[in-house]
Amino acid sequence: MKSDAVAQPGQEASGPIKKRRFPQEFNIFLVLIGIAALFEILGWIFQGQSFLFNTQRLTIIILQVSVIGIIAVGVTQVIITAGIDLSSGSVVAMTAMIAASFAQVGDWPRAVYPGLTDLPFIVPLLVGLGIGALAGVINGALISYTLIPAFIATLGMMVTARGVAKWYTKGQPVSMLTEDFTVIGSGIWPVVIFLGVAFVFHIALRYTRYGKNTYAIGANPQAARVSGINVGRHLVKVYAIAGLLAGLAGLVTVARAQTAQAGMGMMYELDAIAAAVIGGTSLAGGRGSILGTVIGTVILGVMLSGFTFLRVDAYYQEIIKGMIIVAAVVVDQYRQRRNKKA
Amino acid sequence: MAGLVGAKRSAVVETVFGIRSAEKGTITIDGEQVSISSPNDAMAHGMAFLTEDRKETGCFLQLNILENMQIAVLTQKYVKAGFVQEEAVRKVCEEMKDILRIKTPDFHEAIENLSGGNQQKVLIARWLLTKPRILILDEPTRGIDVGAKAEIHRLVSSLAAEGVAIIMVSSEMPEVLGMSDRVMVMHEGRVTGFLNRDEADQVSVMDLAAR
Repeated sequence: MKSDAVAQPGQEASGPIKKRRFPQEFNIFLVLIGIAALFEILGWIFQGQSFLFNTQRLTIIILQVSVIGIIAVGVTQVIITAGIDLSSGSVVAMTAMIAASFAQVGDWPRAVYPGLTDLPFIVPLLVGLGIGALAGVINGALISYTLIPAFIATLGMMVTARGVAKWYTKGQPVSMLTEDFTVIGSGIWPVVIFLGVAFVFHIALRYTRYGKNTYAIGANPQAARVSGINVGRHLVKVYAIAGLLAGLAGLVTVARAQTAQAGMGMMYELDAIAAAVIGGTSLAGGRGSILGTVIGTVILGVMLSGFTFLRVDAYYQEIIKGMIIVAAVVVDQYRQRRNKKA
Repeated sequence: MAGLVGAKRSAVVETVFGIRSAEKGTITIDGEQVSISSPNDAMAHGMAFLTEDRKETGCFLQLNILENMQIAVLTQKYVKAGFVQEEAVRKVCEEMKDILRIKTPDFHEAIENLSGGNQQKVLIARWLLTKPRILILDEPTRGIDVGAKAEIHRLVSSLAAEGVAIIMVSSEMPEVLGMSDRVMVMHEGRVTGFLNRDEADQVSVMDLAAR
């Protein structure tokens, strides 16, 4: 039943939508190909070997950005509503710490809750997703009902959640996690989770009322309200989803690292925003897509791997990354102005 | 509804539709008192509201014609388990596009590329899709070309003939006198009088509007 509902509108809409939506993502894809080709050429010149034709590297390219990608899927939806979420990185840390404390093995004497060890892996999973969603609901409720700017509300959550992560164990890391739990961070799992999440929300944004309302609110919140959309309630949903996905990213991060630390996920929110913006999501709202964000995430991954491959100093990497984010926004502004003229 | 600019006519209809909150007063539909605190409530009572400012509170400029047209009706219909029934909603939108003679080669054109008159027709289509019992039009013909204006007048008349209650705010005297069965005149936030069709003429309306 469910798969029918998904497949049918897909076939129906692919034709006409192509005309307007296809080119933008296609352009971003060309950028990705261009960057990859550039690294390929530089690889042969400076390293004497291929950048792309290396299965191990290709895996790592996606693997190292899949956590960012999971966050970016949520952040994209927030940005489409013309909002912003700066709290994702801190929510990753908070979720990681709290979830990990419910995933510790029994024969570890320094467990956070000595009575609550060797729990089935579903417990830390639900705890983590719940904490993330709760942080998102608080963000959304603050924005919708106190009418403070999203920037301020999520900045507050960014500081608060980081504080909670440190306070939770008074700064101590949480380690010795069950194997059942850490499996979600092992091998190719993070990539599978990232792509699964991306697929679900790609469908949601394109073919559901949730998606249509998300774009409408970003394009014109007053008109959305007049059209009968409960804007406040919808924004709470969007921020809750972003929080939930940040929580999921926290679970994957801690499962992969096998130890939770309060400093985890530092600046992840900015990488996620960068992935969305590079992928064509407009900070002005109303425009963007998950497909674009996935490509944007891969672009970040390619750059990260490429710089490492060319042995570019880590300091330069950050400097260049910063400039690329600014460039992506400049391109977005230019595109908007050109659209207005047309 | 007639009156000079600044008579607060828009404020009244916006309150009726739940966009602004009422300080006092009641809303009665078919003899039954209703409470409306949001546009969503108003729509549930069969109301529709074409706002005065197309750009500020009407169009989703970045979105295409179809997306602009379907947004209101999707709050009520054509959604199953959260999924939009694209085919069904598209069909009724196509029909509405033909009825209103919206001139565009492509449904997926951004609405900002349409003329003012065609934009207005898309917004009217948005509301007609919800099959309203009460249609509020705030300055529906302002800033659009003569042809579209005449078409909107014809459309409003035929809707009224079908039994849709129409509340139209207008600053244009010929429109007020030509279209109304009853004219409510306002001046600086107060209702200064009601005139029936046979009582309403330029002098009587202006007299109340300036009072």
